[in-house]
Amino acid sequence: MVTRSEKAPASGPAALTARVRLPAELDWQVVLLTVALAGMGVFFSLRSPHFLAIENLGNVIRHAAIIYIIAAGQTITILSAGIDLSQGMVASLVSVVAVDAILNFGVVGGSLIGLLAGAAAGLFTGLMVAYVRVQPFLATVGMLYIAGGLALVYTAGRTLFFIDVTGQRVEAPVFFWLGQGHIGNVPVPVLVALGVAGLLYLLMSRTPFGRYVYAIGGNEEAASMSGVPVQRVKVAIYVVSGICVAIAAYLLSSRSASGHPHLGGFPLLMDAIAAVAIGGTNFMGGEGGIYRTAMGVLIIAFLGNGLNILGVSTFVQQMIIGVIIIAAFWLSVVRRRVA
Amino acid sequence: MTTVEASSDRLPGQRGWGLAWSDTALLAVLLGMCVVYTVFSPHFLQVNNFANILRQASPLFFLAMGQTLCLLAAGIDLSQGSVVSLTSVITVGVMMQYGLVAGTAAGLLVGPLVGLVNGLLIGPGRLSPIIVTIGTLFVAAGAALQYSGGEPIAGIPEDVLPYFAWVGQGSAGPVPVPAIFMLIGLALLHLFLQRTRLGRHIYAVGGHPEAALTSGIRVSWVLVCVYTLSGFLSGIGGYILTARAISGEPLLGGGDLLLQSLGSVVIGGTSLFGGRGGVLKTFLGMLVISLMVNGLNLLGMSTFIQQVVIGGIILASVAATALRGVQRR
Repeated sequence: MVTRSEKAPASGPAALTARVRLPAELDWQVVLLTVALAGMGVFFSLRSPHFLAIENLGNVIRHAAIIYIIAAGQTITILSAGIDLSQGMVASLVSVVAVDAILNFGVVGGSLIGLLAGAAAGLFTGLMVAYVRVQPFLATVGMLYIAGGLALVYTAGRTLFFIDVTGQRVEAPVFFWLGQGHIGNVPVPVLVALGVAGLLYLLMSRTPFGRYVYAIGGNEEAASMSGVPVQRVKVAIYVVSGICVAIAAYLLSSRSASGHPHLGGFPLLMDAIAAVAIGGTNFMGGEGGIYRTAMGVLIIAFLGNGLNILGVSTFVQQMIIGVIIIAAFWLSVVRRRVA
Repeated sequence: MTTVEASSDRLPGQRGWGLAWSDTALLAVLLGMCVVYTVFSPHFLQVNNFANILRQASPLFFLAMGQTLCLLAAGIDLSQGSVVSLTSVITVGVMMQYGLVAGTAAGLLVGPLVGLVNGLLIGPGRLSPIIVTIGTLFVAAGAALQYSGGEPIAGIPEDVLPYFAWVGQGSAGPVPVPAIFMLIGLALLHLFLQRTRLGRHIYAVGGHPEAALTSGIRVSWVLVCVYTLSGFLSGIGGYILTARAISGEPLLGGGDLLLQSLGSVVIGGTSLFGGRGGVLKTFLGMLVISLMVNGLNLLGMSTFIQQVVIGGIILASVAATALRGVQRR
């Protein structure tokens, strides 16, 4: 994706380095969100003894980690002033394709095919956005329908279980371990998410690709004129998003030990977008980062869990999340106007 | 009218009807679909079938109209589906306790209220339409579930039921009542956009907000009106849909409705960047989606494959628009 050759036009894009918001400097958005998260932690643990239990925290973080992988991919598309609305449906597609392939070709081959399915969906979207110049919003709505439909067509609407034709249970221990296992007290998906986050962090902060993404989001024409290979970077952005979705869908399928054509859909997409919004990445592009989204994911996850423990209905939780999305965004706008 | 013409210079054919040559292409697509379906299914070219198509299209029509206003003003309304759900449960809930008039009034008030909140945050509050309407999407969807306890609300009193059901299920001769609402709505909205000051200001705000501001248009006020109207129209769509189902469904607008509404606008050819397009275009776009779904059903195509086809058509139509734009440049 990010080849050495892209480093070549150093003269132009070098000037862009200054535009990049380095995480090393104090990011007030993250500080505020951390304070909010800490406040929530204190409040919930005072109200309920169950909140701080290791088992509870582990469960919350396991799910949050998987959402984070998707949301991180979403963050990158939004940083480039795009958006990927197909994520939920691509997750469904990857789930059925990966599980079917694992049943037929074993864990290694199946996993690769699953990843490829996500990457292929991203590649198609990326080509539409970059070279046909379709608005990301519309290109991904199209992909949303196509991927969702394909997932249903693929299994004729049924869920794939790990059972062969004779009704025997099919064992795929490595696959199950990835979604359900632990290393020490830490759930494996959390480690996977940390790995993905680390890679994406390096990609965004240490490679030309990262700078190009911010540059395109900040001002596409300026980026193009200063030598950024805008169209190629755009393709790469949606491929990255597709791969992130594939990894998350893979972990979710492993957790439920099934390939589900309704695995993703709207709720998963909204979780990802809400996390990016609460994290404070600018939807007009160019400002924000995957570390902010991490805070967004944690806030949604622990808020939901804490309110569950306190017995607040999930319906009310949904309303609270809506208010927080607007409030967090308002906060970031006010901060920008003051600065 | 000058501001409108100036901001729509890419559509030289645009006159009073707000249509252009690209709409002829859409009409051709519609005709082509009709021919294909007529050839392959004896049930397609029937009065009853067309009455059905229009009846089913009516709720989507109202959402798509609201969405058109938002897109013309360079915004977007993602809360439409949730407004439909909330309207549905409130209408039926209140109707069961206080009667037809109160239920209708309360139900139809939901949409403008949610829309007003959107409009205040987007206009005077100057927040991004995407974020604001995602926020109200969550709030309204949660409110609908909370109000109904997550279950459908059924049991409208017998004395009220016929009147309420008439709105969704009745017919005047061969013409379904929802279709009549749809045509009245289309005429009113078309006149509103073309003949009133506020209507033309919507184009101006979407085409070039700064120019609109400097030429004395109260942009914030226009945006408040746009989103309140969008909420109101979504509410009407939700009301009609509820009158067809005769129960308050907290997930009524949770499915494809929002995407189909966006799809209608985009297939019709209204620009995502604001300032170009119109309600007649959206009407054509909505007819494409409705006819397609109806025809594919008649041909016995599974709903799963239909999804893939719809996605393909959305992509093809926006790709065609995009490629034409590239050529002209």
